Amino acid sequence: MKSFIDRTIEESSQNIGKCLHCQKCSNGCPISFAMDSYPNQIIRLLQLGQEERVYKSKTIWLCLACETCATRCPMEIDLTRVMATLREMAISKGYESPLPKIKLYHDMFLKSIKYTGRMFESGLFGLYGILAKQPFRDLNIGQKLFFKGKLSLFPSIVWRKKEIKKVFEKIKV
Amino acid sequence: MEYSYYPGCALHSGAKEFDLSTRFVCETLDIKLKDLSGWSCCGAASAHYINHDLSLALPARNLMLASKNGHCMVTSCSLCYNKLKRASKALEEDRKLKEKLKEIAGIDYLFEVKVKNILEVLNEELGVDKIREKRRVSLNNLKIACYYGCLLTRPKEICGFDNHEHPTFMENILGSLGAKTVNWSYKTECCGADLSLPNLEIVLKLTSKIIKMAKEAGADCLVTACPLCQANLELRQEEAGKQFNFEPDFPILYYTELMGISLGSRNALRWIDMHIVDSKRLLKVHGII
Repeated sequence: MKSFIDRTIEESSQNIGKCLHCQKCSNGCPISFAMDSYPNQIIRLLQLGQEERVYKSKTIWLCLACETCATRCPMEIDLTRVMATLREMAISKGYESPLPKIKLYHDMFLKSIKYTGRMFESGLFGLYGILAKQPFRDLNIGQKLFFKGKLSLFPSIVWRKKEIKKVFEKIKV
Repeated sequence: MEYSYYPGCALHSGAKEFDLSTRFVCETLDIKLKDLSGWSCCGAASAHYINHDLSLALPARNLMLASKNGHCMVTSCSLCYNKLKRASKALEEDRKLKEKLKEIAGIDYLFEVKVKNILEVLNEELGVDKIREKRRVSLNNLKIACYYGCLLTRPKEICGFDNHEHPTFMENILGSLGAKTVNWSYKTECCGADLSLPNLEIVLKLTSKIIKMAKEAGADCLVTACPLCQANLELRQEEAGKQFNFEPDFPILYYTELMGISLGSRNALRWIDMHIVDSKRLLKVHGII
């Protein structure tokens, strides 16, 4: 089997071996304060073949894809793409996210698109609140938005929504 | 100028005022927007989070619809713009991707569709002078912090308009309409994006920094071009203010709303009323409404 770094390079199309550890990525990352390993430390773990540590780190599950790191990397490594690739590899190997609420949010968002073609805001927020065990936290904001006429109680459905559902089924998401 | 207009999910619901003001601004400036029939979600950050192919297939479907119209595609939402443009560039550069998307997602991309952001069109295709000519109401030196967020100008290889670290397109327009835009260093700092529901503490920390810096730079309000940024900065402001010690009274508007007021919209108050943090008092004090 190919090494961890080789598999990641192949999947992400990024030449991770070029990383100089200049730490521009870690210094620019807006949420590095919330991570257990800084972005460049994830690259180092990758280079050292520490697959399980990478999959279990909060970093790859927290990355917001704000592109600050990718924009500033002097070696032109798209670190956002590397993080996304590592996350997909972790999911395919059955690793659970150490930050399950974030994954739950994204899974639910995609379900809304799969079945209606568009994001159903009030449905997503309401159901997410229940499943994430925080049903009352955002009720106040939801109420304000509703009375301002910005939240519909019904989803906006694309008339060719079956096409979109097929996209999800073929990609097996 | 005629474009296929892609509103995106947010402008269709929670960011209605962005859609309404965008349409008014374009109509006033003779930019014809033809609604893209049958548009679907671009996948936003969630498709990118879960699956790379999905993150290209969902926007590509919309590019396919637009390619049948034959126009260039335009959108106001920064996130939609980034995802659509990313897919458009990927399809342009990778022939194998076109075939892959055709096979796995039934996407038959007829011909290349250019994707632009409204802010880009206003600056580069229309020009600030034409906007200034149509000014009816001056923004009377209102001090504004223009906030671009992450995905409007990054990565530069995808977005390719304005300066990716220190953009000025919003300042160009609002300055020509009489506003005094402030010079500040948090223009492209992340607001916390989709973490608003699953990890609110991060959003509170990031948005409080942005608002405090805007206030420190002397701004009376902040304008943005992204519905997610706007929601984080406005809807979470009360809580952020409690936790990080600042008054949660900082108006967060869309740049097209101020443009619309200045270009003479009679419906502007309707857009302003859709906001949670009041901005009417500020605009009245400056004689703008």
